[in-house]
Amino acid sequence: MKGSKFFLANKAYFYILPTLAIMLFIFLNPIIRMFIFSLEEWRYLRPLGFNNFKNYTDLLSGKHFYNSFGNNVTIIAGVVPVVTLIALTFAQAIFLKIRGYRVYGFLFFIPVFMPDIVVAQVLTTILNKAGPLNEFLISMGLGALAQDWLGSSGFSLFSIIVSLIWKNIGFALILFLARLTTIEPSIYESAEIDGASAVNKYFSITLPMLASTISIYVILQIIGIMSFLFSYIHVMTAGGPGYSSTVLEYFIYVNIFKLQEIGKGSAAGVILIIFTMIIIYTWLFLSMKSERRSQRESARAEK
Amino acid sequence: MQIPFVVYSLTILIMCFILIMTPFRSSHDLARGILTRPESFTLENFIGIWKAGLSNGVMNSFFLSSLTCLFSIVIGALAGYAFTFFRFIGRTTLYLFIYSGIFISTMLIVLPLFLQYRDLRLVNNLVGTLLIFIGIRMPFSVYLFKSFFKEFSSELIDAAKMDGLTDLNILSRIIMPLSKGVIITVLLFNFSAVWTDYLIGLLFLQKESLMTVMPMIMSIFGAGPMTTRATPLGQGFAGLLISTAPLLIIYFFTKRNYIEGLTLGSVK
Repeated sequence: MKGSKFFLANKAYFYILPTLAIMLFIFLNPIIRMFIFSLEEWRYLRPLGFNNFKNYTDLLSGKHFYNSFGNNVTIIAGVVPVVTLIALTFAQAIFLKIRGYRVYGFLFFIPVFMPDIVVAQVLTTILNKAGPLNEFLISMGLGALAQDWLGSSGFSLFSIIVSLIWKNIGFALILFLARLTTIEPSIYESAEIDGASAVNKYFSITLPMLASTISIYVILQIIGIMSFLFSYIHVMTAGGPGYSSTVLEYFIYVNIFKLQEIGKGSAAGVILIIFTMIIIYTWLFLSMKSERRSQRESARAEK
Repeated sequence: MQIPFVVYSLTILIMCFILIMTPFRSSHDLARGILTRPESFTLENFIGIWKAGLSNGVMNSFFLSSLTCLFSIVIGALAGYAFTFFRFIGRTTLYLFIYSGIFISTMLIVLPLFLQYRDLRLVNNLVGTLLIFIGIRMPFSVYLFKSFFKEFSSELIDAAKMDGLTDLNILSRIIMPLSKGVIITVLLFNFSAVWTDYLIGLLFLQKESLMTVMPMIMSIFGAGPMTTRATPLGQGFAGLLISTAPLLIIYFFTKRNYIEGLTLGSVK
């Protein structure tokens, strides 16, 4: 039968056809349209035609866009190093089985499993200006430290950062621990024979072997902060007050769904996706290069 | 030296205390404050919010989550198999295209999709929304299957082919039974992603009887159908607990799979 011959010759494409069809519709189609929308003038939710890049110039000449992007960077700078350091410490300690390591291992994973929305809402209740945290501080005589954690422009971003640190320690911890358990003990033993101290062993053996895992965590966290922060921001601060805790993703949301500025929102979306793709492809390229390099090195070592 | 551990543990315990204890307390008790020692035990919050509409939300979310899992496994395993064992033009490019979908923000696709759905009259339609969820989960599912299938030796496949098995046979009778681990992992990630979704449900399922669980619960705390029908502290937290409990149970049983899923591509 001609039909089955065609199928057999091209079977791979049939296997991936469902995936591709869905992805074309759910990803490629909307993103292309977003590119088109960003070039159009929109009134009352109807496009009016090519806009001469006015959306982009409006975006880049106003300050809210830069603020939002700057908030992304601030959150990344606040979350990534802190979580990395804390998770490395915790991972090492749990790996070395300090007292109570089983309890810690169990407890520290809990924030990872809790849904973003739930964490965001519970924290919102706690951090409320009249809520338990401030009440506790006042009752301890530390009333001066009590703030409007979520409702003041000074602290809204800070609260988001702390919440993200709290939630993601466990995530990094899982990655680091998994890596630590795959390092062969014999490497440490021969280092000990050569007289290496604990500090030596950590910085010369453990840390280099964790480097790739750390970079995976960093990339995933950066992507998470750029692309998947909506739940937190919407529940905890709604980007406010004003735009003080708005990130790029939320800025897009506000523009499209609140201000009905579809053109500008789409333009911001275009910028976000280009930025995301640059990060991902750079990382993929670099990790493929280092993989090829280590393959060559191990091939050379075998000779 | 143990101080950071204890501090972090305390914060987690406090969170758990609030999440777990608050729903069981009466509003009279809660008026004293959320961190006070509980003086009551009641199930009225759970019953209240369940009757006020959460039962619908749970059913809708369960429907969407489980069907997304089903479709993403079938479609993802097929694609993963093809990317691992077939050689074809565009293999790398197409895989790269699919893989990139993991990192694309949902916010970037919702507006155009919503406009199209509105024209197609697919807003407030469970099946239409299901399609969106399946689409969003496909990249990660294909990635997991491909990473896992890579570990199968090609000799196994060749031997099976020499026995006269077709690819579909190989996939269904040899590979899948051996892939329980990755299947559970895909189930785990996809179920919780759809269950905890907020944005898609918020935009595409606004009709009350179709709402999913997270937007419904959040409307207790903000604006929406539940705002006047449930009290934030008691019943709202009951809702939060009800929505978290299935996840905690699933994770408790599948922790190993979760770790596997995160590290599959990264640890050699």
